[in-house]
Amino acid sequence: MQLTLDNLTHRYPAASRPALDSVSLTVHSGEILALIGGSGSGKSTLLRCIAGLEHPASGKISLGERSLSHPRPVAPELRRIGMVSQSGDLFPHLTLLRNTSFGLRHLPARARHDRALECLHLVGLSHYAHRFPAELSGGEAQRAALARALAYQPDLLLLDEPFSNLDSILREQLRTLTLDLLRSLHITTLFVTHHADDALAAGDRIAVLREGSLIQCDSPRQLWSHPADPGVAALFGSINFLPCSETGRTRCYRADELHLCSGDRHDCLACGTVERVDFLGASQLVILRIPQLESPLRIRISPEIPVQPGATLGVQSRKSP
Amino acid sequence: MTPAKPVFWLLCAIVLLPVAHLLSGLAAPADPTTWKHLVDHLLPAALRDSIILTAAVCLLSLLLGLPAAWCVTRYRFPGRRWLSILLVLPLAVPPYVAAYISTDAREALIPWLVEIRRQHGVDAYLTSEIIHRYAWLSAMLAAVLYPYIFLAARAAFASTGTRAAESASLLGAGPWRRFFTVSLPLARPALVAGLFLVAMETLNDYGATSHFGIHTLTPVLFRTWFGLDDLPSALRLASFVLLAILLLRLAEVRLRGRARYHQKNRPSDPRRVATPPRLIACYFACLIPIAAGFLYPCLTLLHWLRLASGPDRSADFLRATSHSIGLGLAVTLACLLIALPLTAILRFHPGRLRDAVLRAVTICGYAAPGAVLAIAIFATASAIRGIPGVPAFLSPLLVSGSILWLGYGLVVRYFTIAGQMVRESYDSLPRSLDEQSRLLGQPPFTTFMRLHLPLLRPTLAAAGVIIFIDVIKELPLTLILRPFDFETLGTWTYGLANQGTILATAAPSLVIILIGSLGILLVELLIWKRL
Repeated sequence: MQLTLDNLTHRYPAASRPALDSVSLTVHSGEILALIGGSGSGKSTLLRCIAGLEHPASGKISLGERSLSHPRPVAPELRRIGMVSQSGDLFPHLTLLRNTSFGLRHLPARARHDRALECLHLVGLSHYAHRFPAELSGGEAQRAALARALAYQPDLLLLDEPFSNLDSILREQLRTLTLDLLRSLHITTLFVTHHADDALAAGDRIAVLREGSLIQCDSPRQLWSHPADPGVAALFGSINFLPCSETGRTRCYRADELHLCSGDRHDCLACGTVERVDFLGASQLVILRIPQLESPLRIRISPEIPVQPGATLGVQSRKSP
Repeated sequence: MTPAKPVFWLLCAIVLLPVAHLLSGLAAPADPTTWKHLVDHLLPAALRDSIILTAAVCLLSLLLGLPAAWCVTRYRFPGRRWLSILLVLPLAVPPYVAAYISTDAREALIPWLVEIRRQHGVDAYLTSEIIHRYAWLSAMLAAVLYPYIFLAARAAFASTGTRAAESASLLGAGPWRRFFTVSLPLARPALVAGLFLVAMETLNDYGATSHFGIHTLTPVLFRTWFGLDDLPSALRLASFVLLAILLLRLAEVRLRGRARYHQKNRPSDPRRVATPPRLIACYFACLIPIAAGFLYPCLTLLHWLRLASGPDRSADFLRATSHSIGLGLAVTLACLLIALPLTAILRFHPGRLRDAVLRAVTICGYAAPGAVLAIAIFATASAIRGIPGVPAFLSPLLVSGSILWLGYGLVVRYFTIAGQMVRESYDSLPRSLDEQSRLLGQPPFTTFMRLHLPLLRPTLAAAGVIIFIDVIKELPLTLILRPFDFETLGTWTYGLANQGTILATAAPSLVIILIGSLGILLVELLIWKRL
């Protein structure tokens, strides 16, 4: 079911600026839209407004043909929106089976049980059906929370940084499982994250929020190759700013879009002293101090290239001009 | 406006009505002769006695409760958990019973007082006698009230400052320095709250102080109303006392308001194995308060029970027991049935004004000593009776001295316990659980029934048990508001002691202590895992 946000504005009491400032966005039916932004950018507020947990000051929210905000806000329990948060928020006094069937009171007992068990099976937890949340690991709790949200058969699923409390390996596993499930079930999903790799891997499109405003909304490839501004580009990794000698304008380069060369070459973009070299396993990060620039350059190179701190080196671009 | 909001205001009004009515009478006229007599003669002595007694009881309670709390939270030694539970049991002993059981020991000191009189004259004798009474009363009150300090300090030492104390230890601070510079300052808000409860209980006491002939504010209120037969002066005095206590309470809340020291990540276990000298110190610190506050009263009462003789009073005894239990259950149920909807409505409809009003409602009842509250209830009853148009069929219920007013007074007094405990428990439930429930299609009432109620069950049980014990022990309010010939275990014990049949108080006192002890054990076992 399609979600449409039209000029959504929200302001917390005593806040100097709006948490959301005229945000307009559409999430198409069955689409997974990743929402990315820094801390305080308004990602979670946007999700809470959609869920009905906050009431926006102005703007419209529609889910399919149904308006959720007009003429008066629809109560959260009537919206048919599922939400999975960072902590899972499982009810501590209920077993997984009863947690999963919590939203199915309208069904007969047998159907409720079968549906809950089926959803637990989908996330690989049917054998834990009679365990309590306290007996689960972090990853299992998140999978159980996902099962509970899916069992309710929501028209829209909101994922609020659901993997951020997990280690990187578990995060990747759970991300894959979640995405496969959501795609197979064709559920419209808004997925908030501050991890660039989650957003790039998960989103059919990615929306970038900054200080409550929507900055860009595009496909992952488009966003990667044509970020709206340096701030958007910086969300997806270290960014270096170098003045172009021909045009005089500043260009931005990702850490792996620069490489090192001899300092005396005439075609190098800049020349400086190696301040530090960090070995990162699959690569190494060279911090190069350029006298004319305020911030040092961060260049990611192959770990086989020998570089010593104190050496004078130049940088060249790998990008086409 | 949803129907929940009017219900919230109605429930608040029910609890606040007597206190508000009493405060509105601050400027009410009183008989000038009685008032002058009060201000010139009774009040200065009552204030002096109240201050001296409260300070002494607070100090002694600190000395008994604080080291015990430190030992059970910081050291590991055999029997620690059971001692930690037994240390709370003196709460089951009503202060007036503690006062009565000291009769034997006090009588043993009479030859010593006679000797003083013989050697040093009447003045020295009178001074010694006064000191002797104050010391005994303070010691006996502290022996049964120190658990308020113990419970507050135990919770504070277990939940705050363990990391900070570890850091201080790594920075070279020894155990004494760690205690005085880290643990004690961090536990200050909890200790202030505990001390406030001890002070309130001391000021509230009527049975023990009147038995010792020490006239604090509560006995003076009794005397003004019943001795001088001047209700307006008693009302005026009660409103001044209530105002002073409310101001003190506000100061206490302000004092600890900003000093809420939370430590989210508790270390696994801050306790160390006690070395032999510390082991002995730990046992001393734990066993002395238990012996003074629980074993001594229980053994004395058992001894009296063996000695007691006289007419068979089992019918009176059973009637008083059933009255106490019935009243206790009704008041407990009423307190919980008011506290639950109030806190639930605030949870679903948060608002600054509602929050502030609920705080005031939970402060007021317990801040008012029983006698003050009894006067407030009496005045409210009289005012309601005087309203034209009150239906005639209500008039028997509206007569002061009806069981309804007694129950109402007890509900107003003990609502604080239910209100505070349920509220704190609610605050510890993450709001995100409510949000999940509502997003899963459950409206507020279903969320309350399916989510809040099961999660609050241990707190409701604990609050219920504490209120029940307090109602069973309560004396001044019950004494004033009870209907004619309605005896509870407390009033019956008081009556027997007043008639001079002190040995006969053993049976009802032991039943009060037994009921209280069982309840305390239940509550302590409910929180066993956290000890």
